Amino acid sequence: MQWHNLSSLVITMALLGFGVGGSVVSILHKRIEKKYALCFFGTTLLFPVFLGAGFIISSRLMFNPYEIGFAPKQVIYFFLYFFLMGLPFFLGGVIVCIAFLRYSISKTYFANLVGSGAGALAVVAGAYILHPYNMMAGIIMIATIPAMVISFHGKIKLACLTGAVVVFNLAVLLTVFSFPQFKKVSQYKSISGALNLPKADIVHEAYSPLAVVQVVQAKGLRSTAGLSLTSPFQVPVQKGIFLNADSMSPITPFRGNPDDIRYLEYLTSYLPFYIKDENSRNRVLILGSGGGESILKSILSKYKKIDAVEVNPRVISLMKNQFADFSGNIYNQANVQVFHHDARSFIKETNERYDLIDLSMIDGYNAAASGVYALNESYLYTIESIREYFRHLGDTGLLAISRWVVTPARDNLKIFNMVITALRQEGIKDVEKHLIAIRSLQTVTLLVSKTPVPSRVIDRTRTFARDRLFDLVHIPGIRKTEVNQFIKLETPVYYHALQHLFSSDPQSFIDGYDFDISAATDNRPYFYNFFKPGVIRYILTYGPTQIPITEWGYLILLIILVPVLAVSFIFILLPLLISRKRAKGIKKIVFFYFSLIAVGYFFIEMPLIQKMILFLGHPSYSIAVIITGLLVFSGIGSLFSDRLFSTDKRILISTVFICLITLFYLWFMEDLFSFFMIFPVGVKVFIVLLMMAPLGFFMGVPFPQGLTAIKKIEKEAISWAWAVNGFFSVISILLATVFAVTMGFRAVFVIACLCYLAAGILSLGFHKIR
Amino acid sequence: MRGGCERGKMNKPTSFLILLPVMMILFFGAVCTAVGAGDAYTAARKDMVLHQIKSRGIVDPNVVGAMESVLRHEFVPSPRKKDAYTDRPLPIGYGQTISQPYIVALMTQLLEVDHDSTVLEVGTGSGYQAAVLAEIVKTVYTVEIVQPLHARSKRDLNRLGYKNIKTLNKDGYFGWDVHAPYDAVIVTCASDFIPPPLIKQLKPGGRMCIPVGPPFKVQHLVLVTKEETGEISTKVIASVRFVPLTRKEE
Repeated sequence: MQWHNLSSLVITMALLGFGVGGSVVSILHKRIEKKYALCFFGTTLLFPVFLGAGFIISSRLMFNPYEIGFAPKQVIYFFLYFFLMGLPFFLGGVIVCIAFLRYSISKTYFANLVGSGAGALAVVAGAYILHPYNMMAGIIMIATIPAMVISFHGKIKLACLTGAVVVFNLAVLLTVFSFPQFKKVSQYKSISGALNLPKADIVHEAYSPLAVVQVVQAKGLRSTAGLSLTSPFQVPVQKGIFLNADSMSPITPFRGNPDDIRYLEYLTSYLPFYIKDENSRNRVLILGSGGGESILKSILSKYKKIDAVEVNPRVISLMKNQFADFSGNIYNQANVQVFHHDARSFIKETNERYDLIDLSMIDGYNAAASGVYALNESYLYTIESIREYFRHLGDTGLLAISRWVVTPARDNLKIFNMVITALRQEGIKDVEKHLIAIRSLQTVTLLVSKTPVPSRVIDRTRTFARDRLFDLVHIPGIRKTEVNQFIKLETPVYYHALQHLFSSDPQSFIDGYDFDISAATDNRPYFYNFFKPGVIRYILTYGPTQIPITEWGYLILLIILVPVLAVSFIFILLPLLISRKRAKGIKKIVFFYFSLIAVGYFFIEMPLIQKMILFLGHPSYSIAVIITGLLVFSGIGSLFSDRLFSTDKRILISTVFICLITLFYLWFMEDLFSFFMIFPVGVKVFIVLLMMAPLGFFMGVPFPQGLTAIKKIEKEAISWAWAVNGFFSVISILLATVFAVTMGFRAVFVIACLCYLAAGILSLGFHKIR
Repeated sequence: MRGGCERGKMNKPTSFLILLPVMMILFFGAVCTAVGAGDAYTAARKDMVLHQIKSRGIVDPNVVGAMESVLRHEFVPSPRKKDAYTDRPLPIGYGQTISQPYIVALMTQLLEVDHDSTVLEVGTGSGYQAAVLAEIVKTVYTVEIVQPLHARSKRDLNRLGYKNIKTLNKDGYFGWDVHAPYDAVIVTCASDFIPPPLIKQLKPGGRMCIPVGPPFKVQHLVLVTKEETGEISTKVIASVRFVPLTRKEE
């Protein structure tokens, strides 16, 4: 429906909604107590209604993040999204807090956490068989069950109301199933553009937690990045694989005749296939094989053995089955071996040495140009990953990275910087002798040679570029007069950047550049984040219309932080401040204790999710496993928390355990990853859950035990504690990401430990007061 | 009662005397409104040329004259007519837009065409760009892949009396080879590569202006020049964005 950097805001919305819900209950708790059954049932009943209504209304909103810079109504749409998605969580918060009023905190908290964890896992399982919209309809149906359960214990009227909700949800289901327009994604995603072509149709659709995969065929659908102006060969009408309605990967029709795909020889990304001697074209590794364009290049250049790695099993399946005939059976050819793996795990696992490792147009242009993925971790492009690719090259091997040209230039410059840094770390001093770079109108291809580039390869590169009107960016011994010849830029920015990066002081160039082109590492794997204050200067110079083509991903996080802080304060803390529900006796200690454990919890959870992406291979797995693990084990910790250690030191000891376990993981996680990296995903999930068990168990102790402690001192303080915890949970989510982007994961983990330790020491105060 | 007035009714001469001025008021009102709207559009167009075109460096008198002459609002669907002269692209249906006036002027100026030129346009869309070119050049050949857009633009261009524009419903990738070679080629829809047939159909000494980039995303406005010797060079002029502003059914 929308871009997934917006989906990362869901956790913020959830916590904000929960926090506000808690505040409302704490203010109205006397009235709620008087009509407890009605309030409990009423909110439970409204929950699925709000869920369905919010979903349907938001799916019809014409929200386009790209227009935020120049269309004020898009800002309104954005906040409307926020509001619609937050409402069900608000009701969730209200329901849980109402339950707290009558039932055991530990048991309620346990049930809430375990249910949330199970839900997170169920959604991932469901994603294998259901379209997200159909899954949403199913979730709405499931959300009616609590109201039904309560109504069975109440009066007939309540049962009737439940019946009404069931009818409402059936209507939602029918709507979603019957009217395809409800399944429309944002019209601003690539697939919407493709579907506007004549005779366009979605001819195949498959689901997995990794992405919704759709194949579009249409009259005139052609895509090939950076075709030379001199190409005498035509690009055939293709089919397009769209992942989550964006990031198109073309499937080219192939009947085995090389002439049909000879246009591929006129792409910059064909250079590595062209310049190698024919007798050294033995083994190629294609990372991210998608619709098979690089496999076709390998076939065209007569590589003997082709290893292709594709992370999405649905893409592999459709290329091997439904579109095997159309694509010339390339995924099933005898010399092609396809691996269902993510690139990093595969490269870690394999012992092979390759003549060529190709990362060609591996991510969509959207990722490169829009800043949409600025906050997404990518372990594909880090210094460590480049070093690993480099180590898997044969003696005369080449690593090839082709990417879109993005204006203003940034991501290719970051790649240049990372490659140079990685090679220097590998002990190579004359880096400039190992690199080749060329560019077309739309693409830049960078080659990294295991050994200094031989002169015959330099000559072939010159010929290749000249024949195709591609510009040289770098070859060993390049002359300044050789650059910016055919595709004239105002300044030869790529050439200049490389010269600076080759110099003895590359840092001054990196620091002085308007965009963040500093190297991404496994500790700070934000390749797609180019934001730094210079970007604001750029936007101020060229106007807000430049926001969509610069770096709005990180900017939007900062922009959101302000209203989220304001909304959280107004709806969570302020009502309690005004209504004087603060527990006067212990207000300070409650404030600091519950704010510290909120920050601690999310400063561990968020970087863990980000860190586990490398190990588990995809954000979907990481989010599901970490959230499930932490919630379920925290729930168990909460349930058993009353029986742990001595009452007065229960929290302190738990926080000490949290710190020890976190620091242990911080020190030894890399080694654990290295050892288990080669195992299948199922085993890795099990290992991660094992790792989460002790951590989650102890992280489940401070919150319910803190509430229990203050309940004994001053019952009214519970609402204040809930509000403080909710407020700081909301901002912790955003701050954890800001800190991870700027300082790296290790710093965030250390801050979390300090917060927990401080909270543990503060907890001693509860017992002194009592 | 014949010839007299029944209660609650009027005889014909009396009602005519009342209806006549009412009809006159309505008629002149409609005329004045239309004239007023016309005046408003004329004023908006002059304002557009002054503030969006000339002030941004479009100096070719032919281009400025064409931008002043062509009735842009005639190419914009009714609900958006009031915005016809604003500084932005507008939706025309089928996921397509009528480009921002400045981009139309800039691309036209970059072609350096005159009264003897023949131009190929790929992506007729609303027909506005073709109309602007038709004010300057001998003949405009324009190709549109989306059939309903082709039909609509053909109808509008005929209605407005453009005799030197020839339209065709076809995949623009292959150009229009029957009338090739062209003095200039202008592509007004996005492509992530320049179709080779279009280069072939450009005369030596000709110029091509094309937004290049992934379809449906940010593009670079590129000027391709084919020298008399047949050599080709390209220059990136600016980053542009052709935002799809509407759904197919709109």
